[in-house]
Amino acid sequence: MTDTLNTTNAAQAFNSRRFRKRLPTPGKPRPSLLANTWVLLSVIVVLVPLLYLISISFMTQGQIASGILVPTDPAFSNWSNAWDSAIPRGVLNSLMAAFGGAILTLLLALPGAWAIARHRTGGKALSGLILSPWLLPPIVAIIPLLTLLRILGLTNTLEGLTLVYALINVPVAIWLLDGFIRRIPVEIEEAGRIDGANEGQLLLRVVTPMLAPALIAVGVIAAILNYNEFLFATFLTQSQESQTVPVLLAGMLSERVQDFGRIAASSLIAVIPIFTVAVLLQRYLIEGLTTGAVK
Amino acid sequence: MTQKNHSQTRTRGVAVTAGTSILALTLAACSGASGAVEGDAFAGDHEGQELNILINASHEGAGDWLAEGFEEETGVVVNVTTVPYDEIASQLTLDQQSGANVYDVSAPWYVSLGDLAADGSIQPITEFVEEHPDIDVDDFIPTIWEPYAYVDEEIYGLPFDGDIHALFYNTEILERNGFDAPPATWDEYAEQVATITENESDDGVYGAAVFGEQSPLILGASFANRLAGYGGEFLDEDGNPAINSPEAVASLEALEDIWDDALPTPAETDFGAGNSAWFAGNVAFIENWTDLGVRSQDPDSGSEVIDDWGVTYLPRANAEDDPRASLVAGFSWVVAGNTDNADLAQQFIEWAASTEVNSELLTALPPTGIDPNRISSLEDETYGEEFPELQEVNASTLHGALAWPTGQNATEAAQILTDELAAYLSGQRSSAQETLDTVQAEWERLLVD
Amino acid sequence: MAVPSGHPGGSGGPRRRGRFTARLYHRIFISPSVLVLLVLAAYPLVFIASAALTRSSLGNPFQEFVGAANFQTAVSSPAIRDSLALGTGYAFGVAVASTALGTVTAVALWRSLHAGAFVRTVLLLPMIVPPVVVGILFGFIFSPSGGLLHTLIRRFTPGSGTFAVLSDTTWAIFGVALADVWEWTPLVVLLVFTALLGQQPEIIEAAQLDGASGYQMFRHITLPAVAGTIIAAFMIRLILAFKVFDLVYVMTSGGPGSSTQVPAFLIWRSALQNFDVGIAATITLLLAIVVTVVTIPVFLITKRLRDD
Repeated sequence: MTDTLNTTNAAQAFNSRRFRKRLPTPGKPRPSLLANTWVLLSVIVVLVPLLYLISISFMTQGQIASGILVPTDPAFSNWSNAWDSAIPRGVLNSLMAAFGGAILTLLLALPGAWAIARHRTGGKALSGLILSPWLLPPIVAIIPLLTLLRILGLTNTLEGLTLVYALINVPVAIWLLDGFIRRIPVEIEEAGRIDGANEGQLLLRVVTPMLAPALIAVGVIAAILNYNEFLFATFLTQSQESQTVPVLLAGMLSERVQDFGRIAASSLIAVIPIFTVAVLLQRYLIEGLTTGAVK
Repeated sequence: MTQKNHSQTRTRGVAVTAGTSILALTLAACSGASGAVEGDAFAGDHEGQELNILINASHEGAGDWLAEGFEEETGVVVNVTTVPYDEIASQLTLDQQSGANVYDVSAPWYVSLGDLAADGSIQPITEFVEEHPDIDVDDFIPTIWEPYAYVDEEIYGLPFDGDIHALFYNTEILERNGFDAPPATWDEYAEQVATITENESDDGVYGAAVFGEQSPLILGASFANRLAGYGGEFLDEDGNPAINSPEAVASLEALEDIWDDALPTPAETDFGAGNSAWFAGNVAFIENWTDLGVRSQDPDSGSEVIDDWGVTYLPRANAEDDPRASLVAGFSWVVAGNTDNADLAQQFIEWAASTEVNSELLTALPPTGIDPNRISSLEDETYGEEFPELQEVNASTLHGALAWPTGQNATEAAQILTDELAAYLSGQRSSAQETLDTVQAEWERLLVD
Repeated sequence: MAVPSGHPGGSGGPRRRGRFTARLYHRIFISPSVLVLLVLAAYPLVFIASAALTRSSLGNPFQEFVGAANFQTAVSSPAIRDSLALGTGYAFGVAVASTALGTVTAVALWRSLHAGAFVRTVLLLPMIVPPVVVGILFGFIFSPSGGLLHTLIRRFTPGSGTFAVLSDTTWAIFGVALADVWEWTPLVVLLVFTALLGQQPEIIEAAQLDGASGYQMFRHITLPAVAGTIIAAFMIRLILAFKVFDLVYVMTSGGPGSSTQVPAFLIWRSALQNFDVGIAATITLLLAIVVTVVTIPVFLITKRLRDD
């Protein structure tokens, strides 16, 4: 219990106090020049590739080949070409599959996560096995999954991909939710029971509201994983109407004429929406990762 | 199903319309010659139906063109799905195997026909071809016909895109470096490439772009070009692998000779990288499909080498050898194994493989990337007028050509060869002979029962 | 106690029945999860096991029972053995690099003045970028025709030859690894940093009163406090690295030669390019064995550290 409470403190500290103003934290080591330099270096290492991508997105192929790093004469055509291609459609598809899948994942995972974490339903076997699908590369599973989608009549549709995303993230979601559920004081649930709520009502009216931040956190993580997924998307959505943005981007690499600038602009168009979501919801995202992944 | 519905997405309105009007003219012209009755019966049958076709992404232009044309003629809506060239066979197989059966027609690499047939992903069309003399099998370029159509004794495909490589050269770069003629032999080629790279690589200009990315259609093609030039074969007359022959070893060594002088780096040079360098005027030579010529003359493709290029046969071992074509890529029309629409699918592929359509595709703008599949389209007048050199080079397919092995496991065999070539060229193998001996052993396991 | 109306006259008192219905609810609650396990684990596992024991092509699985023939082929194939060895080395290399860099960065962040919201946001970005885009991006960086690395090398040492990371048999895997480390090290930073902030202040104060030096504090108080987190982060990183596919697919296609042919890529190629699902399934099982064997020790250490 102390352990989990600590994590909460930590997450709160991470999210608020420390970053607004520096209070004298007990036991906090003194800042050092070395540490500051290292942090600065890390930020540079993270940012330089991204800035380079932005830079390329404003260059023509000739400018790139001539070995300049910052375009003197920005070529905006890359962006307009990328915008007029299938990319925006792909971004929409990706967003729909990502968030649709994430919401479904939560619906499927929450009751199970609660029963497993609180009531040990399914015993050790279930809690031990639940993460097993995540451990291996999912490639060969494509054949059975395709058969499944065919039975449901969802091959080659965005709905089919959404369903697959919903399923593949259930194990991860249960695993991440576990830490949050354990943090809910048992007394609150007991109080609900004494008030006459059955387990379904308890889950719906007591547990779910308390888990709202956790659900957002895990939902965002699932959505990001979905948005970035490539392998299933290649095989489950071939038609232009349903292709997601990673598939479109990978396809651009085998085009018969190379256009780094347009690929870079398209990549950025793909990245911007999910960056926005992540930055807006970063409080949840960080808490989901830190509370869920390390328990 | 949410397929790309062509009639709703006319992104290339003007160009496609232009193409269609030419097509309409041609159709009008030939209906006069070869029976308007059949065309009408054709149209009545399937009005309002749909046909789903799966093709290579680089055939997208051709796909749009065909969809428009076929709808015009028959009222059938053609939905075109494109995937990267190396995924057609697996996507089609998964579609058929899972029972989704979305696709009716596809155009895979001809080498994969054997595996597709073995898995039931495509269906034989022998009877259909035999019952329809209009298909005029004898008009297909003979060296193309056999490998592109047959799996054992059954016909599974009709040739769509002939796809041989020719040697393109940048006349300006050659002139600057004092070469007044392109090379006739692979030795001369290596020499010219080395000279040009030495003179101009500091300015970003190289002797050649060599397709060397580890894919059968890329690195495999570069090797096959040399194997054709050195007079080698993939299989001997009895169908046994002959991939460790002296000719094959010479071919691999010829590839090695220019590896370090080529546009850096060959291992990363795929179609995009190579073509871009060519269009930018940064390489003197590129072995490429003959349709590169059409694109090189098209300012909308971003070509900066308009009128600055020439094309010739691929080099040989000796200057006096006859030029020999190498069927490096090449795509065939096939009918999906489980389609409910087999009749319509057959009619579509008959139409799409016809002289008229092939001739139109050869010179259509924007370029469709299609090469001749028939003698009659190869000899087409418009093609000859607009691209006489391309016509001449393509004519080399008439005198014998080198084709990849086909049949079951052929795809894997091509992949293994490609992997070993790449391993040798990146320094992971000790000698060319040893490398190809390994391939020979694998091929004997895969291709000989 | 709530008693569902649909259960009149059941045996036992209301309390017992309540427990019974509660358990029923729990069973219903876990049923979607169990279903998911069946669909995502059991069904593919049966498929993979069956495919591994039969001659199976992509379009026509389970043609005939071949026993251990696929395993013999796989075990005696240098390509497959090399791939599994490469995959294991890659996973450990990348996981160690990410964990070490991530931990150092987290500690630096902890001891830095500038760990503000901006830094936090920046450090989040790489793991949100789709791996396909990371691959494209590092492909640009390593491109021998005008890439960032090439341009910088040329600028500082004019006249030097071409340095093409991704077409060099030795360096290509490091190129992929660098992209991988770039993408996922921030996760380690985040986890370890949060653990550092979550240390119990009382213990640290007590240690300070005892006159522990900065290094001693770190070595004996801070490090043990976050060791569990570091190992957990290492574990997550290890498994992500074992599964790497997208980066290889985009950056090198397994080449040059077989120098970046990691297991996930080899499985994909066997099944979807060469149509040999039997071998692909066999490699998947072998990989499962390798992953299990190498992760069990790590897992046990994690558990011990957590229980302490």
